[in-house]
Amino acid sequence: MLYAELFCQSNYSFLQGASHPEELVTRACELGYRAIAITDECSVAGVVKAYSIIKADRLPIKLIVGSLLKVDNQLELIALCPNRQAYAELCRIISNARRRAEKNHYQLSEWDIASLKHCLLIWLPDTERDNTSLGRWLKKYHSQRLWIGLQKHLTYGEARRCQALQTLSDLHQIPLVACGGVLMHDPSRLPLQHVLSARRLGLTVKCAGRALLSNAERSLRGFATLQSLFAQDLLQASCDIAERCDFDLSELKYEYPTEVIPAGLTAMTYLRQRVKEGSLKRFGSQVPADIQNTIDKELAVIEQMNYAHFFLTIDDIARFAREQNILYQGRGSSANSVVCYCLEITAVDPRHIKVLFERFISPERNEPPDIDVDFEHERREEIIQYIYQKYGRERAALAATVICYRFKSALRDVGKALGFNDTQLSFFIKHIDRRDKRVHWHAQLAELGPDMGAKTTRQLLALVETLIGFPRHLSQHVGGFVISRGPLYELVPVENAAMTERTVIQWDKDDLESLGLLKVDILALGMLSAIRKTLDSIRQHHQKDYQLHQITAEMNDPAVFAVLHRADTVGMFQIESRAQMSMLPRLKPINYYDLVVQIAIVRPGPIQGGMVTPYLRRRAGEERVEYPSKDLENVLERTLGVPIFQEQVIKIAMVAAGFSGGEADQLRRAMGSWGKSGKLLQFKDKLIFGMLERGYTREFAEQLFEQILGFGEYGFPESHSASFALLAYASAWLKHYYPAAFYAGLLNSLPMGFYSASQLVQDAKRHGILVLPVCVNRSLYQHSLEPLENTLALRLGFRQVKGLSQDDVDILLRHRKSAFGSVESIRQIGMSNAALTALASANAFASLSSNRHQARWQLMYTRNKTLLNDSTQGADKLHQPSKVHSLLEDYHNLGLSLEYHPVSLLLHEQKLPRFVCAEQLKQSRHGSLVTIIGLVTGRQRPGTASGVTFMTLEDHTGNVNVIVWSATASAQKRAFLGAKILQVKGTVERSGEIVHVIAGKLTDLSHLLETLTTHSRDFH
Amino acid sequence: MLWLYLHFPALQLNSLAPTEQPRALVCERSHTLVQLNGPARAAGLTPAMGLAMASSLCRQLEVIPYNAELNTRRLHEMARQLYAASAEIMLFEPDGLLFKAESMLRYYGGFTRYWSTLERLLNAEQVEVIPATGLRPANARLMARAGQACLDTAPEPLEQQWQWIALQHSELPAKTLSQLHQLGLFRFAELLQLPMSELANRLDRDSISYLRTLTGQKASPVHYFAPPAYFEHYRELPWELSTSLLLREYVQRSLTSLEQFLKARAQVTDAFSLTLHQHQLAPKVVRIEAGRGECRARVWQRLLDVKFESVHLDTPASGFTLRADPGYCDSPEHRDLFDQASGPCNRAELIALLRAKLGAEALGYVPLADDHRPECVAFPQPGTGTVTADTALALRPSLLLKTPRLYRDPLSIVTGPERITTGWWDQNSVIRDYYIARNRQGAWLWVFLAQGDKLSSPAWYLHGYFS
Repeated sequence: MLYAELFCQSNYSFLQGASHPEELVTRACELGYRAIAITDECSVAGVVKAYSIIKADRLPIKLIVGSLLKVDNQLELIALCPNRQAYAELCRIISNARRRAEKNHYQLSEWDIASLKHCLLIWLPDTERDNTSLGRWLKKYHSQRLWIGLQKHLTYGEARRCQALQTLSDLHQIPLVACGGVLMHDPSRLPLQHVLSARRLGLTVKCAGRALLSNAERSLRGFATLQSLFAQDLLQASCDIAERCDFDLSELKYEYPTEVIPAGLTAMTYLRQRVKEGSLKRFGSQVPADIQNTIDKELAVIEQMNYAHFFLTIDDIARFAREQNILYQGRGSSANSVVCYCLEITAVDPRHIKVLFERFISPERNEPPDIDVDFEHERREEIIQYIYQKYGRERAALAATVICYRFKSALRDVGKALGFNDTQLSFFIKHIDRRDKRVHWHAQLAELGPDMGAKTTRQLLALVETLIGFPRHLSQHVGGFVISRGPLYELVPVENAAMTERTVIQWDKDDLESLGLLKVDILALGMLSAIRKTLDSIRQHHQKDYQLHQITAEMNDPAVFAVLHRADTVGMFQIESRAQMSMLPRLKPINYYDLVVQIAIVRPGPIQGGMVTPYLRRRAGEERVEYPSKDLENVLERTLGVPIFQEQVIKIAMVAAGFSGGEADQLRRAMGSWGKSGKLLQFKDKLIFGMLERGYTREFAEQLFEQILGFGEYGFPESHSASFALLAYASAWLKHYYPAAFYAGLLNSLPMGFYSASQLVQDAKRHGILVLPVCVNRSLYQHSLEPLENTLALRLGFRQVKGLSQDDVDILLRHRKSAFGSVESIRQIGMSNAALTALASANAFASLSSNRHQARWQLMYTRNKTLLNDSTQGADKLHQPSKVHSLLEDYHNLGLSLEYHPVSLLLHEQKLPRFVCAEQLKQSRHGSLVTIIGLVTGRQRPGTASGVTFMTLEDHTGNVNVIVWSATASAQKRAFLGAKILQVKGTVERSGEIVHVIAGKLTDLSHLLETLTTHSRDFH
Repeated sequence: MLWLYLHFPALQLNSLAPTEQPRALVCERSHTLVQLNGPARAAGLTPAMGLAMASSLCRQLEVIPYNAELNTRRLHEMARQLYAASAEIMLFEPDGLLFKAESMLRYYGGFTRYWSTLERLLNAEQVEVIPATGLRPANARLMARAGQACLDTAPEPLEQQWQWIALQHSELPAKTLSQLHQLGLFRFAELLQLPMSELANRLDRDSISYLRTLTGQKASPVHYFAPPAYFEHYRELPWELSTSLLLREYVQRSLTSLEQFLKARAQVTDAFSLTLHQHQLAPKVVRIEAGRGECRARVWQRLLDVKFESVHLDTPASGFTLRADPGYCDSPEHRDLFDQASGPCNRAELIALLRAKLGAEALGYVPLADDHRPECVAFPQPGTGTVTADTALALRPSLLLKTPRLYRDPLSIVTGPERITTGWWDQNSVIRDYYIARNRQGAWLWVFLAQGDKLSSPAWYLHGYFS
């Protein structure tokens, strides 16, 4: 067809475009367009999506990169990129315009437009104004690259407008070209476009009136329609312009920064040199032959794929972290390479990972190298600042994360546009549980009252479904940096992020991957902070200087694994959750690779694929290990014939279903964005038929696909599990051998992990650690270890006191030359009143005042102390705090209590009926009926466990795991949802040493401690 | 001095028709429950509970936004009603009234009769109320807000009872309250054990001042309520009503109140306005004129019934306000003999009736709405928007037909098409191509080709004539 659409906005023109870029190019191709330009407003955020689908589906259509640019409501034009220079200048002016304005806005000046020397420009004049001077100005700067865009949308007054454009064209000798101003790939998207426009205006569709489109003509139209609307020469002009646009996104070549390479060396030579140095350090002068072979192979692949700069960039960052004593750990397939071990990017010793499945870059699948580096969460900012300082803001920026409409936001926006009121929408949103797979959200909504037959309700349902997955705005990636040799703005536009001093590019990680651009992931991990603090503490109190790689050199300590078998894993990395705890005694890990499996198996993928039980049975020798075919033996050998890891599933798709390398790569990426796009379903038929053709059973194929869907919800590759397992082992080792230091390290790194300070302290006490209270005369800011009678006690630090700033603590510590003698003496040192009150509330004056009430009474005294004024006057009229009151105060001000547990207190006050405590429960018989009482510290409803909620009840002797079926929960909602102290009558289910209680009758006992302020960790 | 305080914990909720379904008013900012009906309490819901928890506990919960302004308006109405029985009333917005009972006792001959009169009026209003007496205004208010109903009049128990109220029910600032709790003080009796001079060294001025008013060391400021000279009633409807006739029952109650209001003052009024509040749209105002001074609810109801026959609501009404014109004295000199019995209704009533029947339509009031669809722009559309002179409107024929007509005669197209594809959200979606055309007689017509909208087959329709 003789037409190219040169003006087309996708849904990356937020709240304007009503179609995905993929839909636009696919539809344009179906209609036979020669080319299509994606011209989002001051953005190229959508072009890579369009580019990817053209490449993946081999669509015979040319993609033109462009953008709609508006200058001060005076001038509107489309800039198209005929070549690489034009693309660079477009990125430059978009970057400048975006950087000048706050996030999500832009500000273009005439000068920006004048500076375009290569872009082709289509002017979209406003015919209601005098365009003479603008025409002259544009002609002056862009004479051979300028057209006037003529749009026909069958709106009122169109003939007059077209005539005006013709006159303008004649006057300035600027040729006309037909363009569509497309916002939808299909007319059926008009209602959605209206909804988006109404939201942009903050109105309902009904009130938006003529601000909405009057018809659906701003969609891609067939040739017959176009021919009837436009003269042939105008259509031809569109093709002529498209012909001039040769720029293809594949031309973008990533140019690595060169600072990290010493002068006179090539990247590869320098990398070899660094690896050589590293191998000497790691393995000594005699590198084992097999390891050397692997190093050589890996270096050859790196050279072949030209990834040396990438490894060196990360090497440089890791080196900086080491210099600053910041603990870090690499993960990802490439991170587990021997090269990375030599470069000290990872501490995972290659001798442990011989068995790992996908160890390195896969040239056949053309995947980019995957290295994420986790740093101590409290010190990651130092790394980020180092990168900015080293490469400058022009050359380093974060990748974007596209924030898409999800169910709640879509329901709210569509609902508002259709005129539902806010409260009603909040009610719907709070009521609908999208994780409830048994009842579709449509049915749940029907229960909430709206007339499901009503037209508006039907429209609400349909529009919400369509809107889910639409991009809403760009945000910053958690830590994915793009660093380039030249200015980044010549590669991709850069804009401001919400955080000050952060900039973000307009592409997300998928876009970068599609274009083969590399990002360096700088992530934050709380456990690394905890480990570093624990190691520091061991150095100080035990005079032993451990390094992470030393602790994890062997990873075969039976004493450490014995702890895991008992599921005594509170505080340990990745294996501390309820689900992990119940799996540990069943899987009984005895070596590092078992831990890798343990971490990966309690995930949606293996659970939904029904792979857990077969694996455990085979491991226990209760089922024979067999393989679906000889071909799959290689793939599944390590996991006893059962696919557990994401890499295995992808490999099975290739081996057993005939996926090509490219298709397997698409499958992997679709898993990564399943929640957003629902793209995985398109692989179902191919996978199942492919496997049936090759002689596999339908059951196995269906199971595998379910597992793929599970990975889509929470992908978990072996390569990441391998790095996590290392930290899991390290944390287990530290907890076992240096428990006091480990608990101090954990408490000093909160918030992180799964448990609150209170739960960690309870666990510490159960492990025989003496925990001492916060004290104005003893505590430091951090929790610390205090020698006490041949042992080390854990002294709570001031950081645990709510409302106490570090500045105030500094004042206190500065004045604490020796112990303070009275409350009054502390009042004199210049701390804020709020800080003094916080200390009194935390009972930190216990050594100076008989109780909290007395200390506060003195601190509240507002007059200066003189001989006549005494701040203690009247204090004798105050009551001594009761035990309950002290307990509540402890929880309120410290989040924990050392003196009492609520349950022990109630027990002491004889307020509780007979019950079995956690310690006694261990002796209970399987199937026996018990009554348990405890503080509710967690309610978890994993997406994979249909209809079951795991509750954790804590009493003074430990935790009890309770399983509540949905029928039980819904029949006793009030106690189930509202109770802080809960009594459960139920049945004991015992599996080895692990005991659960299956809940029957729930009774809320919260009234016994009315205002207890502990927070349970609900539904995470 | 004896004072009586009435605390209304659910004024807005009580103004809705009772229901067996759990119902709650929710603060839109904090998403917490503010007022609850009996079934909602029975389902385990409590005030200040979060909406998420409430909706999890009770899936049938009907949620209505809490509106402090409505609550206050209703409080003023209550004051107006009770003013008939008690003279000196103070308003504590949004939910309390204070009565200087002492001064009324001699008129009623004791507190019991005084209270039974008030109680009768309160029962007629069907509101939940917590009454509490006190020797000082602050004490009575404290008791009532703490939920401690008390109708004692003897000084001794009254002086004791308030001291056992928890501090959290007081009007002490949150900061002071927290400080006192942290000293282990939870009730006034405990607090008053401490010397006031030591408290003054520790608490802020407002808190000390409040404590002095409670203990009678300082008088409370007094601002008495004066009833307004006009009648105004707002009612929120229990559910949205889409036809005006369904409103009849609810408006009737307000008309009875109007009659009582006027009769109590020996007044009549000429007219009232009934404002129907609709979601998303400007309120719709219906004006009823009696033609002469009138106070009888029966007569107003008849006029309203006639008016309602022709009132169409574009979207359902969520509430209404009835506001009467200023009343005046109904003196006999304003009437003459011929006003009486000249047929089934008198002349003034007949005029009022006709005006009610033909009112707005007869005047030909045409609002201009913001819509692409011509029929939605140029014809009265109840409540579709404010009426503004809009010069940006497209060129439209001077005579637009109310309903497009099928057109079969030959046409010559002059210009077009203008395509209008919109209105999918309501009952009037259109898919049309409009043209300006001429017929054989040379008339300029505005015609369209319907493409499968609610008009059945694709065909030419005439929609208007250009002058």
